[in-house]
Amino acid sequence: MSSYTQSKRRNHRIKLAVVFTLIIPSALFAVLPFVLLVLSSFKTLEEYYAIDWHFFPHALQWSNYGDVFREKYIWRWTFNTFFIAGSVTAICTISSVIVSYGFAKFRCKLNSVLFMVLLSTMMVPWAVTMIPSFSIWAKLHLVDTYAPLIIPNIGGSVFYIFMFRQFMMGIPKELSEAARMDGCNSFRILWRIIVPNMIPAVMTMIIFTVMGQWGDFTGPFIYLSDVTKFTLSLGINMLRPQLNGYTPWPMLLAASTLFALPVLFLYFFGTKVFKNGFVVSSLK
Amino acid sequence: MANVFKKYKTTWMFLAYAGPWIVGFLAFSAIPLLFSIYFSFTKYRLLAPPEWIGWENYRMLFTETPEFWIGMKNTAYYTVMRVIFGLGSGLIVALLVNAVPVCKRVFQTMFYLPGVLPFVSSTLLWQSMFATNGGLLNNIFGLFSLSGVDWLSADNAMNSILFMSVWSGAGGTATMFITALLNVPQDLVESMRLDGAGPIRQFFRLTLPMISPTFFYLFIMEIIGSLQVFGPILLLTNGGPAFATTTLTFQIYNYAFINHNMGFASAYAWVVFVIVLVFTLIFFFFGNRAVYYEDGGEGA
Repeated sequence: MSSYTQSKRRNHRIKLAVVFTLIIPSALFAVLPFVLLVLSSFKTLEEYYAIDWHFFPHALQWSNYGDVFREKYIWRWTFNTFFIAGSVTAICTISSVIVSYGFAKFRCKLNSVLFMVLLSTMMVPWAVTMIPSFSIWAKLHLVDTYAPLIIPNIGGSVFYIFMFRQFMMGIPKELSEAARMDGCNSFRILWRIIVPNMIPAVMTMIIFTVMGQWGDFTGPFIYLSDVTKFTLSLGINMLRPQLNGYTPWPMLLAASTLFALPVLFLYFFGTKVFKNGFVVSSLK
Repeated sequence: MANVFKKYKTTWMFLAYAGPWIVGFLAFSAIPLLFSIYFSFTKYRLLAPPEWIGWENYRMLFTETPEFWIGMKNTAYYTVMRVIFGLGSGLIVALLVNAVPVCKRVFQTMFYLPGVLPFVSSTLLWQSMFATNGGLLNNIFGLFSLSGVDWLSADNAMNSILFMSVWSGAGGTATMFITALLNVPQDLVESMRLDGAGPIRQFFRLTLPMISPTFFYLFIMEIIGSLQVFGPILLLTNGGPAFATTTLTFQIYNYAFINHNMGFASAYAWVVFVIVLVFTLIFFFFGNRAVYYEDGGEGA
């Protein structure tokens, strides 16, 4: 008996040793490039290109960060990014909540047909619709405005419509029945009963949509050409051109770090929300 | 009139709520799709109206565009490697995080960090890593007195891009797997262990079947996403050197927005659409049988 427990304990210990020897190096490996990004952003140009290269900077060169803020349009780009990310997130989230309620609550033949259509739109490559969409926006003289980036979001996000629908179908019927008895119509039930019961789910969508929009590159890249209308993605990407044959990497990496900070902050703040079971209960 | 409304009340209510999506779908998917079919049979250069030329674009694409076949080869390579390494590393990370007894969240956050970085931040970062002159990877190699590598040369560029995309995607894939692993019933795990099943047997007999719906979903999504790889190619190599990293979507973008050959690009895009469709449907019908659904497949 005791030898059995002993061998079990030893097995357990071996397993833990294996797990730790694998997970610690791989986790460090995952964050190493980010650490390099931050460290290099504090180097001088000479240090960065030095033949005698060191991992850590000699001294923290905050001037790289100062240089980023001296970019002519940096505040403009920041405002533009906030504006686009904010409006897309608001429109897309509200729309996804409303649409998913339709799919979850009002079961009819049309519903099941359109639900299949909804799911199959995930397969359509963006390149197929991009060309005609671009030419339509061009006809409307709305290329190089924010309309093509914001308006297509009125339909909500397929992924979150699907998620919310699953989630709503899991909310006990008794809740909405009771409200209906009290004379609430379906719209009131949605906002007063259903949505308050899925705050973590909605927050998850908001956080991920803000993060996605903040970093979105392809959409702005295709539609925007006026430098003053750029988002941070386009603007920072445009800072790449070389100075006397040297790419100003420390400054670019400082810009990249700054650009990543809000998303990192959102993510760390967000993990508290995700933990409350949205992903867990709806991805089954 | 009132009767018609009453009889189909559910349908009307459904239409009212799903309305925003239906409008969006018609305006930004369905109608563009139809236009796109039409454009693919025309010569269309955006400024002049489209001019019908029949199957000419498709003929050109298959017989007179060698880049198309290079793009096919590169995209196929990228997709296969991305699916294998993306899903593989995601699953391994998930199993490790699941097995580690302490600091689970710390590890999970560390693994997910690369996926959180904005696309431009991580591409600039990797560009600085891959550079031959003052590149960070070669500098690190230098610390261990290894000779430098030309990471973005014709031979290496595709693998470097793959490496970067697996690095930034693994955490997200792992998060989905971790969620699925949480739903593996612990009493079954325990009873298998009491029956003397080792960890490998447990994994293939119990864990893998239980997480197969997630595995299948991620598999399909990785394929759809990889067949359309564009951003990293555009920013890191611009399809080069010498077509070594040119991919299907990258070429469509070039034909449409650099050459302004919208008709040809539309035909190209439809060929890619058909490829995505065929692969998705094949895997859907064959894969669906291999997937274990706890509710017998009744759920959506």
